Amino acid sequence: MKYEEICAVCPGICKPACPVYKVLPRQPVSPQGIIRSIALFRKGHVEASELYNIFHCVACGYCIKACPIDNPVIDIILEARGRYGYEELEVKQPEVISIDGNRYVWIMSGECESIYLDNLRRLIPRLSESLTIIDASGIYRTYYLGNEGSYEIYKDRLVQLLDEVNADWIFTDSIELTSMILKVADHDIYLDIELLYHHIKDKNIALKENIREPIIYFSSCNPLANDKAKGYTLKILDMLNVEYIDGREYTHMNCCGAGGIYRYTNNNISEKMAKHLYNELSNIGGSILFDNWKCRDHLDRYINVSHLFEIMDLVI
Amino acid sequence: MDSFEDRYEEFYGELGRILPTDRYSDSIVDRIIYSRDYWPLKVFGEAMDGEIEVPRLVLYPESTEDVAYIIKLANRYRIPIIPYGGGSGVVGAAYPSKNSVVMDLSGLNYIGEVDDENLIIEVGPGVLIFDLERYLNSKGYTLRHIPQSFPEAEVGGLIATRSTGEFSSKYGGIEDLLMSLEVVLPNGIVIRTKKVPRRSVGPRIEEIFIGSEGIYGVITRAVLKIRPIPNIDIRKAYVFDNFLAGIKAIREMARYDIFPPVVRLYDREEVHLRFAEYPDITGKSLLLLIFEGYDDRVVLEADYAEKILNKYGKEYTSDPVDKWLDKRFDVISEISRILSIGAVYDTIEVSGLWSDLPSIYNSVKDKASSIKGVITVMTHLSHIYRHGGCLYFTVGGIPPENITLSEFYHSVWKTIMETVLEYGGSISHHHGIGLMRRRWISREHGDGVYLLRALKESLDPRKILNPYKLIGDDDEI
Ligand SMILES: Cc1cc2nc3c(=O)[nH]c(=O)nc-3n(C[C@H](O)[C@H](O)[C@H](O)COP(=O)(O)OP(=O)(O)OC[C@H]3O[C@@H](n4cnc5c(N)ncnc54)[C@H](O)[C@@H]3O)c2cc1C
Ligand code: SF4
Ligand code: SF4
Repeated sequence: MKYEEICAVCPGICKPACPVYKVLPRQPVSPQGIIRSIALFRKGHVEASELYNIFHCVACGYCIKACPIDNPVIDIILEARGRYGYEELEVKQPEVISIDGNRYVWIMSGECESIYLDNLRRLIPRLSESLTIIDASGIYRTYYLGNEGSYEIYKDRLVQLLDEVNADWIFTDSIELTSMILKVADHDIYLDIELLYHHIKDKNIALKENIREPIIYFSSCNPLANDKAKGYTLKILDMLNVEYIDGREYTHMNCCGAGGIYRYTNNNISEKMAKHLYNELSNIGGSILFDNWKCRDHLDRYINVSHLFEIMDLVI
Repeated sequence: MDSFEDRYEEFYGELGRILPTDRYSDSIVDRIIYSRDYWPLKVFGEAMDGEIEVPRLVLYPESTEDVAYIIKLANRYRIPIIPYGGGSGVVGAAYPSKNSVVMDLSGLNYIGEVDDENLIIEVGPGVLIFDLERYLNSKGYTLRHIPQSFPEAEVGGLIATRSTGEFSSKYGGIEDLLMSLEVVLPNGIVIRTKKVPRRSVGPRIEEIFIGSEGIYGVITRAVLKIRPIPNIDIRKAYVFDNFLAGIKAIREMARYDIFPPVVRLYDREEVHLRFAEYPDITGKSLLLLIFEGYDDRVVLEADYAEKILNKYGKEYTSDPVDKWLDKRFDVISEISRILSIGAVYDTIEVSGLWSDLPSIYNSVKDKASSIKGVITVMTHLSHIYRHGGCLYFTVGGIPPENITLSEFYHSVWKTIMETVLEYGGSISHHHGIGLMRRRWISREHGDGVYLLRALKESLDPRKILNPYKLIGDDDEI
């Protein structure tokens, strides 16, 4: 049986794991509902243009974790988006927007560069002298809206830009971006927190005074590379010698809605997700920590949260 | 204005005056997703390219007021409304027809504060039982209502089907865990019953709605009885030469008030399928037990049980209990295996007194196994009472050539239902009636069915709430 045919006959064991279903509790946007409608489309019961629900998924991967047979829900949905998605997709192509030297190249995936960069530069002073920024904020649209053709073009252009800048270190704030480019390009690409780890590991660093322990650490939900990100964050927290708790023990809201595509396609749901998570996290006490800037930025509108960059001081 | 179309147009036109547009949808994707619940006949029918009948509209109310408004409007224009919870019902109780409107209650998912002094909690019908249990556990409490559909079913659906959970032998079914209800009646009036542990003020109003499959009213709130989460559990397994010896052993345990929450006795066919990695018990019957509680009483209870059970069988490693706990919600591995060989299955649960269970078991096995196309009839006994228990049959087979899926299903069901009635059992222990079992409801209740029909007639004379389900005539849909 094909994967989508299996979901179509499943009662939906993964339903409670889906953060979108949590804020929009309707069968058609549950993982089972989405995949079943794709199966029904393939049988001719629905038109491609009517598959609105394939865009109701933030690709967090929690359904896959909950699925007893690991059905690759994200692949099925992204493939459907690629085939039946927005054909007239307008995508901002990647471009080099600032060159201060090219020792470090930062591939920026969101619109959050200024505070993020200030923080990063504070911890890695050398970044101020030597940084090339590539604006790759269009990648979310191409990837998560799944326009396959446009994504291929996008990826090629990005790799070409990387070839042009002759950098010592290439890093990114985006886990997805890293994993995807790594698949095609012959470059070593580091996650921002990985880069940070390499730079501070022999230094004397301390927790900022205003940060309250315990730290409630909320790892990024993206299944493509979250183990990698989490690994570095935990190493850094160890270096800081702080007490931390896994935030996911306190909430079943697996995603804050920052990732995926909701911020472009359905901001209302993305905000509902953030508020839901906020409600569950707000009464724990302690400081809430993210290692993904987009999550931090998204939740920051509702609750006091920090990114890993913001909780530490270099003690010189 | 008498055709359905005319009435529907008026209904649809007025709906938008009060309900925001994002609370209803006539998108084909939405309608097709609600075109069935988890009635296997329709699930497999869809997979095998059977016909799909889609409802006209899907409603997504978010409050009691939304529900009351919709019901009043539906009443004015005589529009059938099908309450829909998690859609995990297996007898077609939430199955809509093409001239009906589905009302998904999942948006009424309020979870109130735990009332620790009285050990109760108020919730909306749309709360997933999984989410509720998780929430309660995080605060140190439990409802302990854990059906196999734990990830999918919602509180309202569980009440409306009179469901029971895997831990029921100690804690009871949903009827034992429910204190009071808020219900929107078919005329739009909202009633709320009182929160008290018991009262002598006439028949219990809540009972009208427990197991009513949405035909008498729409549940919009429920007050549930909770308890502190048990902190001790003891897992045990026993092996018996045959299923009937196991039944005798369990009966004696129940007679002396030993009710572990989980009691599951598998016959040899089910042992063969589910516990194949334990070759030494092939051909035998296996009993899984979980005892739990807060202190030494749990140990004492398990010890007493052991004395009784060892008279009839032998203690076995408790590994199979862990295995069962680990895999119990995974139905999809098995379903995909069954379908990939072109087979189908259904589960049929019935109940009876201890004295009737052996003959029900033997006759159902005999008769169902001899139906052309049936490959296996497996059975377990679970949900026990001092006076009897539930037999849960799983029938698997491949429809023979020239016989449709529907004819195959109906022949299996007819055989089992009639056998159970013949031997004095009840046609359903917890899945309910829906469309699948309607044909036998009169034989189940005898003249009592007129009472249920009269109640429907007086509460819902215009037949707007889930018509034809539970007590409807077979040819009505
Ligand atoms: C894999 C699997 C395992 C199962 N295991 C069990 C089990 O262990 N124990 C058990 O008892 N059942 C079990 N079932 C059956 C099913 O889960 C139950 O019948 C459950 O109670 C249905 O709940 P639901 O929320 O899915 O309701 P639905 O299927 O959506 O609806 C069921 C009925 O309730 C009505 N209804 C729903 N919400 C309301 C409301 N708010 N007000 C009025 N009427 C309403 C519907 O109209 C319909 O008649 C299982 C099903 C599956 C698929
Ligand atoms: S992903 Fe797995 S659990 Fe979810 S609907 Fe599909 S088969 Fe079922
Ligand atoms: S990947 Fe996440 S958002 Fe998408 S269907 Fe699965 S659980 Fe829901």
